[in-house]
Amino acid sequence: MKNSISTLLFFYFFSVMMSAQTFTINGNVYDDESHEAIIYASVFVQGTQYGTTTNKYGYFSITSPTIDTCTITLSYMGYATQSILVNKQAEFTPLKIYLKKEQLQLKQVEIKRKRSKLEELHNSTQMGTINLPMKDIKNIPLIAGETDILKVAQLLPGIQGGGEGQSRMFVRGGDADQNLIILDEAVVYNVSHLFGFFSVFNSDAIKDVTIVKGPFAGNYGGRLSSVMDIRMNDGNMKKFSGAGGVGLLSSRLTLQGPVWKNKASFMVAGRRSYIDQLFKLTATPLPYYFYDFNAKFNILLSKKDRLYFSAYLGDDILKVKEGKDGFDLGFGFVLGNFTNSLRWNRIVNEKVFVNTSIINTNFSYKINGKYEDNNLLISSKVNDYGMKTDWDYNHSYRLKMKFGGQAIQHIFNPNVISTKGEISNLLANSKPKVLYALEYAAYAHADYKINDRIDIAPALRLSGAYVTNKNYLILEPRLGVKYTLTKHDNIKAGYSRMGQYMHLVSSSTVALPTDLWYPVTENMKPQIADQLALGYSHIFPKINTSITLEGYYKWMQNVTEYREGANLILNNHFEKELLQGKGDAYGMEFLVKRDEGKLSGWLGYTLSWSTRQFPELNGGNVFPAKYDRRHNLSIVANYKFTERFSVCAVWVYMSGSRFTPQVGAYAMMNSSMTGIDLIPVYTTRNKVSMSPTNRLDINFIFKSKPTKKFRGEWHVGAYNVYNSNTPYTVHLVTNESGNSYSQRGLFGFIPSVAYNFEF
Amino acid sequence: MKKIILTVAVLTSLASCMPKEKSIKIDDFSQKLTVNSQVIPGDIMLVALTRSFSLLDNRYSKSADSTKISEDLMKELLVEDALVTISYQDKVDTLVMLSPGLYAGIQIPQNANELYTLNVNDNKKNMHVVAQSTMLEKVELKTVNCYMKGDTLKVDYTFDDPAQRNNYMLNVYYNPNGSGIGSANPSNWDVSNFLTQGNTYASYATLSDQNFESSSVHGTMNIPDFDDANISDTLIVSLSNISEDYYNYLSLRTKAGKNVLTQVFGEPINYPSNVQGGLGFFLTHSPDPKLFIMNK
Repeated sequence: MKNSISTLLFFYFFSVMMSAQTFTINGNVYDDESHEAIIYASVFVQGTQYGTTTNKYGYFSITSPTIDTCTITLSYMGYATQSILVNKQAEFTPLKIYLKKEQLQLKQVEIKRKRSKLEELHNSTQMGTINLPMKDIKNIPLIAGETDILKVAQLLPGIQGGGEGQSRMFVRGGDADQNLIILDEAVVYNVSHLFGFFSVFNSDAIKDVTIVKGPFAGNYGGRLSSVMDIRMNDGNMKKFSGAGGVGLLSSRLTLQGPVWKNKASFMVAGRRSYIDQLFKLTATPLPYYFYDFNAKFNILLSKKDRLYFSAYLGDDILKVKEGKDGFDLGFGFVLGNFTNSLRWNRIVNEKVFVNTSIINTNFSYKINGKYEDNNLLISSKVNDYGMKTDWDYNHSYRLKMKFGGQAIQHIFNPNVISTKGEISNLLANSKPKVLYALEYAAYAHADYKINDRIDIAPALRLSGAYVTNKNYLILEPRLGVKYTLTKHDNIKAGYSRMGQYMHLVSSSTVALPTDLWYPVTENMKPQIADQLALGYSHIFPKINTSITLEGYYKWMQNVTEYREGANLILNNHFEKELLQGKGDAYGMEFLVKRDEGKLSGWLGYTLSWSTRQFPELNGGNVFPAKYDRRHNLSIVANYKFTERFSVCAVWVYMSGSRFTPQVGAYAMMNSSMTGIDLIPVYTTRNKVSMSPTNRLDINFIFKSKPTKKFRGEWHVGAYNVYNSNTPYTVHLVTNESGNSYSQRGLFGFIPSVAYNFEF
Repeated sequence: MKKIILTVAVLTSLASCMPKEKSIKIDDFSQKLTVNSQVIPGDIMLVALTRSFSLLDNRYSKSADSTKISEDLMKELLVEDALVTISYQDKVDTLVMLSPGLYAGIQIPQNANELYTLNVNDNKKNMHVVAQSTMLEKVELKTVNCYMKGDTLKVDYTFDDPAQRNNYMLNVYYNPNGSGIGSANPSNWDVSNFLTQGNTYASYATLSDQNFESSSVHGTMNIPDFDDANISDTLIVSLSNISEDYYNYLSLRTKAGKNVLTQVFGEPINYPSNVQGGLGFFLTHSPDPKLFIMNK
């Protein structure tokens, strides 16, 4: 113990001594064209190994070992590298650095090798982290040509989709509700439209997507399995510009520009589907559509202060009017999110950067029905009011720290039922008690470079939730270690504990309008997961390619399931139907990724196992999780033939998902002994795997001349080119020659055409 | 513009294909003995024995409208010439086969709180099952009142719940044919034989005393969409004090039938059984039937 304290003190004073002979440079890095902040840009002190990256707001703080002057080099993929001479007098003034896009750079500017995001992730102690380049996401072929970041994420190792075409994610053997998806710091509860087939994120409005599968750094918390951090475009500070697209199911338009040149800008983006218009042409009209609206405003208040306001509004709407379109029944629903966040960036001094956010999220659904004199209205709502603050402290070249805290007040109004007419005899009006949950957390995280080979990142997070009659507290220790073998090879290991205070109440494997988020209560305990991971990473800087191999073991407590036959809809006592048990997940992930060049993309492979155990289910025995797919292989290849013509292909192979088939039946007298019921016999839970599947999707992209003011691109492609079957259900085929089981697929060959543009 | 988009969308949807179905081999069925039983007030215990069957048996067929089991298969599933015994206290009674699949013990005393053990040896298929059941104290209905409200049949009832933890099943019967129970002339039949008189079952409800506010129980059972033209003037309301296992089984059956979304999207239900090595229930509950004459 004494030795440990001495070692820590030594490191601390060594760091302080080092910092005394150095000076610190800080500033923001922007795109020269739009003045958008650049995330993960690389910043290096020339002639040294001292380097850092910009944070999520494009800010950096770096310590130079030189006494008076130094040259810092800034680089980012797709941009010309820039070197700047800085002297100590400028220490306290934040720099503003504008990087020029490569195709626009002047010939005389020297092109230096750039450190890519891949290299930054390779050099970080953080494991299980993948950054998705937005330009590639837009080229990846998906159903009906609709760009979808959640489905692209499912092509990465460790992340699996649910049923075919579904946006729900299952990360490292976790459940669908264990993913924290945040858009400009605000939690998005409902991430999909059209029963889970399309994500709510409009790709034109998104700047950056980073996914962390764990083990997690101290600043992440609230969900067990992953954090998907999505950042919207800030808005062009220099000139008015726009982008959009026309697809088979929806169209979108994004506009951005300066409100006050180089001081304030805005971005607005909208998207609407026209499924309702398409169905009008058929015999069965379907008055359903969805829309999204994103808006962002940001203003530089001073050299050190910047304010962002972001909002997202999106709804799924079905409105069947009674007596119209051949319907006797008036029926509909409105389901959607409204999120908004106000963030304040403050450069306190050359070493300290603070972001403070005020966040509001609203998720609600309303289902209404009308038949003759009967009226039914069911509604549920979750409101979050939160505040969080995150501090980045660059103590020295060796020590960087993050600390902060957050508090979120969740307000739940589950299953409010209002009925009129005879239906009220069957379904009484009810207004269940409003539930309140105050979720809070505080954390401290350090990145410490012990020597040139070993980096450690210890962190401690204390999280909790205060609900009626109960206060839960979870201490969440985390540790990341990186051992550098050579300049291009390292080994990483990590451990993290995560706590989760919200559960998704859904009896279904697809996203339904009635899915409900529910907080911990006196009886429903928080979910907890511990994760251990070990990985190897190699980088090929010359070809911008990285290889990572990671193994993980995750054990989870209090994961939720539902009693067999549970009725969660119109049920105000659904807490009685919820069960809590244990889960285990382990596996190995392999990823080769190349972000730049004529050929870019990735190959990802996952070998995984995931099990659950509940005393009340499957006789208390361990059973495989629904999406316990053994093998998962994805190849995403983007090949640029010329600047104007490229092709993107995706090939996926995966083991089938698990299911519980009916294999037999027996006769039972009914309860009154007046008749016979045929009772089904099933296998044990999730015993059988559906058949493995493979699929090829392809997309050809034809672009107009990049020098044109109005630039357009055609996307022509197809999903499931060779019409392969990805089974989603099994049914019995009965005939005289013998009964057999057959599997149905959902989507076969689907061609697509889309036109995207920008100006 | 709108027309162009719609035309392209229609053309691409026309060019789209549904994937061909894929067969899958699922061979995970093992045949088991199934037990059904009923106590007839008096000294009779009936045990029905069948075997479960695989869905891959082509004598079983299922379509959207109907489920069919061929006579040949039905015959094969009825257990013949099995050795069936019920033991209680120190006695062992061997049941006699009344017809294929149906066995009766005709002089088994029905004592409350007695533990009965059923043993079945199906020598033909070399299957053996054991089941135990305690005959729970008979709980009698104190009052019953039935009436129509709109098209809902309302059944008001009262009874006294004994001190220990209890679960109940409430059954309502009527006869649309005007004979037997429910006929215009109720003096023609014996209420204790109501199970054997081909009556139509209206509905049932399960009750747990965990939900009762006091030991003096009064409640109402609602049977919606009840066409009172179907009944002449009488109903039978029967209360049984049932085991917790059977209560859970019935509750699951009710839930599975009611929840369409669970049927479509939810996880399937493997029903519980109190038969070791087999399926079904060995039941020893004794119903208390009450006749009610409706004022139409």
